[in-house]
Amino acid sequence: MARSVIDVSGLPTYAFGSRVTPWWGTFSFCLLEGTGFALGIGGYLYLAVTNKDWAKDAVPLSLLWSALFTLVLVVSALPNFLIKRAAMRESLRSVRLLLLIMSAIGLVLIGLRIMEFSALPVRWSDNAYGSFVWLLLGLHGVHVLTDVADTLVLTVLMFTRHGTGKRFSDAEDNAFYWYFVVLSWLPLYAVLYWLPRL
Amino acid sequence: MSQAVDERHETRDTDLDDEELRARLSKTWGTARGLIGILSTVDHKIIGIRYIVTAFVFLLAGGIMAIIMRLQLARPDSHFVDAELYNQLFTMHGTTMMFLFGVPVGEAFAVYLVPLMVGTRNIAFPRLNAFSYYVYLFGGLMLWGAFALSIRPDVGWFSYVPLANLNFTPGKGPDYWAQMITFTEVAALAVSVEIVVTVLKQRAPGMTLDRIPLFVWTMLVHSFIIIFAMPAIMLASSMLIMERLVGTQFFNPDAGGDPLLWQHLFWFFGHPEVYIIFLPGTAFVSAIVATFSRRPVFGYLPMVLSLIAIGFLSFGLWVHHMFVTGLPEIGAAFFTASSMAIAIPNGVQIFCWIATLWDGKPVLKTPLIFVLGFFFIFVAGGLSGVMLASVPIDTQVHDTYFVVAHFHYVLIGGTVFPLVAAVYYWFPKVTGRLMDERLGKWQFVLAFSGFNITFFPMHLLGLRGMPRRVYTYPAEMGWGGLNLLASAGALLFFASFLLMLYNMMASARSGALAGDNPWGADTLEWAASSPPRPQNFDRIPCVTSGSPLWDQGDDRAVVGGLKVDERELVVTSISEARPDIREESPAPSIWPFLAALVTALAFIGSIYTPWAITWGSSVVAIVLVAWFWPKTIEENV
Amino acid sequence: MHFRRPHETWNFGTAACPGPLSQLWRVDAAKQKNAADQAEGEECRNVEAWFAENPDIAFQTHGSAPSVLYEALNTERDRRVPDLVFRLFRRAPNWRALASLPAAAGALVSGCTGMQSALDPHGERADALAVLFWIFTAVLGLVWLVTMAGLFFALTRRRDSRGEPAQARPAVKRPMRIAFAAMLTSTVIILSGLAVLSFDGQRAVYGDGAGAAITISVIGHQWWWQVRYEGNNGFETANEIRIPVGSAVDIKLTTSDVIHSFWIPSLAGKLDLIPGKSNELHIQADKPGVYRGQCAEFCGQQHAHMAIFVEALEPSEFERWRAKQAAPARTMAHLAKQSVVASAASSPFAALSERSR
Ligand code: HEM
Ligand SMILES: [Cu+2]
Ligand SMILES: [Cu+2]
Repeated sequence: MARSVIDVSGLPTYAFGSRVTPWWGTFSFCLLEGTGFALGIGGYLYLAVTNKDWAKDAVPLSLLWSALFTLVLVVSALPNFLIKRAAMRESLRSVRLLLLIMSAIGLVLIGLRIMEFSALPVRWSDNAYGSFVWLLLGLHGVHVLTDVADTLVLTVLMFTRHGTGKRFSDAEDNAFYWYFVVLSWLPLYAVLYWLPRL
Repeated sequence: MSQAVDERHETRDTDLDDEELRARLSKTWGTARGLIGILSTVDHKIIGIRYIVTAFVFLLAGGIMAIIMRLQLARPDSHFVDAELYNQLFTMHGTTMMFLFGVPVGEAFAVYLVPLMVGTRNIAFPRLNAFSYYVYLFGGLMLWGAFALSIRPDVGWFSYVPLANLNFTPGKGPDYWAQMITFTEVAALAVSVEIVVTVLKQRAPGMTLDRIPLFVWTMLVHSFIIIFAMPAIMLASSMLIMERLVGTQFFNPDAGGDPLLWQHLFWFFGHPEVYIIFLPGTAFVSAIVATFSRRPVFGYLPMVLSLIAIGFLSFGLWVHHMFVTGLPEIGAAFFTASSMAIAIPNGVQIFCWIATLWDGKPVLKTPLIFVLGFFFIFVAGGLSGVMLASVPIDTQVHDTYFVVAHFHYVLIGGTVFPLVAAVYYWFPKVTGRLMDERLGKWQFVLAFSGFNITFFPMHLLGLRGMPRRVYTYPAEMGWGGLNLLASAGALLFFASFLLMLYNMMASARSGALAGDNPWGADTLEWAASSPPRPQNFDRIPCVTSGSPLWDQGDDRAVVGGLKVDERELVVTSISEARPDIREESPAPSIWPFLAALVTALAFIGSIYTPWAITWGSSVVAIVLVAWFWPKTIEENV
Repeated sequence: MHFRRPHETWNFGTAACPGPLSQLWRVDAAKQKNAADQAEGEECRNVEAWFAENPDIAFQTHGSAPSVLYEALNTERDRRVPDLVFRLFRRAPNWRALASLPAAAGALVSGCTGMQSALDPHGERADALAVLFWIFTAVLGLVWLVTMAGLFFALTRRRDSRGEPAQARPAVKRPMRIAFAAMLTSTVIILSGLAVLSFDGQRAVYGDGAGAAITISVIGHQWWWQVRYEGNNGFETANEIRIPVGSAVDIKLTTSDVIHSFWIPSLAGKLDLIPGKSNELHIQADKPGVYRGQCAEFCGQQHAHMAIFVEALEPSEFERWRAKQAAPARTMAHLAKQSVVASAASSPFAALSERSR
């Protein structure tokens, strides 16, 4: 005979942060993508150490676009933080406004990344150094692209009848992932742009 | 009307009697009929079974390749197949066994069993789960379809560069190989994320960390290993295909690259891969040993700690696959030590299982008998592994048949024997009918003798100088006798699987009815009916011990208050498993299938033009938006 | 061009094996040899007969008859499946081969297991490896036995109260705790011991090649070995290395194409040939003899046929041979002009079996 001992009827149907499953999903994906970045950097450093001609191959990359990119990316952490807060307060107006700002920032970043690519002094097929530069920059670019796409879709949703309830949890989740995009760039930036100058 | 709808929405399980609750929940969680329904299902049990069946089909395909190889090697100077075909065969055999059978089959069982064992109604992210299955299926079809069209990779399952580069291997074989890898590992990663989240957040209330079944712990560690290991192979295979298609220089020593970089990346994944394939085997063993000893496994804490230790250590061993590449001596020595160290947690596990049997009352049913076969074979394979961990010994036996023998001892002993045991053990849960015991024991005799006759002689062959991956050997080498013996054994071993197939088909139709808990086991999946209903449990159980079905009598504590007409499940806190949220579990959807299809096409296209990535990903993006676009205004409560 | 015709005094049978063991070697070889060969096949390394019989194919150099070999290769590719089953059983299965299995076990122990066996060492390094191997085998075999004994007793142990129901939480008994601790300590001790032995062996294997009398470059090609004797009077050979008995030889390993692996089991462990990298291996033969080796890293279609022979000669004989090779006509420059063509089937075995068909 089954005996009901716990009544869950009063529990909420959504929440924020690590209480919900999507947060853990995103977290796991951050882990695995972070591993990918780490291995990419590992491969780059491996060649830098083992290859005698690396110093010759590793022409420094121009700093202009990358600096702008980094700056905008780091600054975007602020509106991102505000989104997180607004989402948890379920304040539709602020979330809408901030999502618009984040979408705009995202598009600017994509433009800057394109400029970064076009300013590269090496091609992927020139040498292993060039291959790695393109690979790492591309890998991070894909992350920027996906999260910007996600942000755009979310923005649209927030301006339709769907902008309620659990959608705030999604907005918060999206902001969480953006932190990963920002944080994962910093070591890449150091390795790609500054290491060859040392 | 709208009032009626509202009322229906509000129905809770506490409002209904058992009979009606069961019917209503089955409807809510069921899968629609028809082709669209079949392709849209998100039921972890249906997808799990598809996964298992598909993996077994690939096992059969890989097995047939192996039999053809053994026929070729049965006699010296044989020309049953030529060099070209032989090289394709071992490549397809290895690749299929590792990527299309070994990894997926463990995940397949996890997809089916973990949600049942933790007492929830569906896996976390069920649509991702459906997607992952289709990705896996299409990846496998892609490789084998290409094989049928004579586009065949032939550079072995680890595709060393520069042999796998365009100038040494023209044609599209390695491209299909590389894309298949990248693609199917997406599936593996997706499932691991689902398992991690299911285990961490969807356990039944009361299933605290120390009450998680060992099976589930094992699959959790397994999933984490995948999360940290698979990115390496995805990175590597992407680099390989870029090398072949757009001319990057990662591995070209003349342009600052290094062929050893490939080996490092490959084996950084490749060694954990062995544990990825092996850990599900230990999960089966833990479950079966407990049930048939009538005791929980001895030493729960040491078992869990060993698992976690294996998880960590498995990432510190990869260089032992590269001992003969001429590494610095000290570096190699370090990896000898770490490779030997992993024998310690493995030893602890073996000890705990045997201690359980010692203390308990072993019931020698087919599942336990196969587990005994596992002990015999796996321990031998593990010990020959200790030999391989020694750099000096490895310089003699590396890349010989000794290694072929070793890894079949661990892979087949460690995974396939427990897997067969698992099939016999959970078959009644899945089909409601028991498999035939007498045939099961005959199967064991065939499998056990066939296996040892096949693979034991290979140790000797390796020591006597036979390298692996040779399509033939001269009669004068004197390897003919042992090879003939090995080939004869392979036929026996293969026959054992045909017997199992027959047993499964016959038993599914006319086996003895099983009931819910035919073995008197202690974990929650046996509390569900056989086969389980779409909702798994009519009422979510509350767990009060590590062996819920042994501890509780008829008086089962359950959760009340979930909606009946919506797919609601209980999300709990990580360590204490306290109920926290009633989360809505996604409904069936056709989009995961379409997304997998489009992604597969993009991947195949990318082999012929890089632009396929660009165009493909835009289509994929559109499909994904459709997938995630909310269909109703469900959350306006 | 038979400048490397086998010499009369080559000693193929360094260690004569007792009766039944020799069959092991003979059963397969016999099929392709005449009765006379069988009669004298009392030695493990009875390759003499077919070298003598086929001097021309036994030692093809890259200059001699590559086109013939190439043809052999190509016909190889063209064989197709239809007559496969027939071909497989072209020769009736050799039951004697099976019957000789017990002998195989014996052979393993005696070390008399053929000219390409890791357990039949004829050089210092291979010796050390074989000893290490046997120690590991003995220790680990014992561990396996103890484990199986534990399992056996666990299953057959008499239980005090049969039919006891399932127990959710049996008390952990003290003896079991002690057993656990004992298991853990002994595992750690055994593994540490083996690791120390392994480190020791590693030093023996990789010990530096200081004082090497001869330096030889081996360059891997798909699918043959280019062998270059370095020094003033350098010269080249293919698929064959001759070394003087008792001297340390330094072998430099590089590759011209893909990864290969150089492996002469009777003399030393293997080492890879990797593009962009040069590896060094030291070998030394204790006794005269022919030692076969085979590429051990998959290197493409004809990997199976990439064999190499090392012949250890008495020093005086080696010097004579070397002097002959180094004669002006055989300078490296001269050889370099000759086209270097793959000779996949250039091992005597492969050539022999091609011919017998
Ligand atoms: C019917 C049972 C099987 C037989 C007779 C068999 C036989 C063989 C043989 C003879 C080889 C060596 C080929 C060569 O080096 O020339 C081989 C390679 C291999 N086998 Fe199996 N095998 C069987 C089952 C399995 C299973 C179940 C797995 C994995 C779960 C597996 C994984 C592998 C792998 C990874 C390789 C290496 C392929 C390579 O060298 O690229 N095999 N197998
Ligand atoms: Cu080779
Ligand atoms: Cu090879």
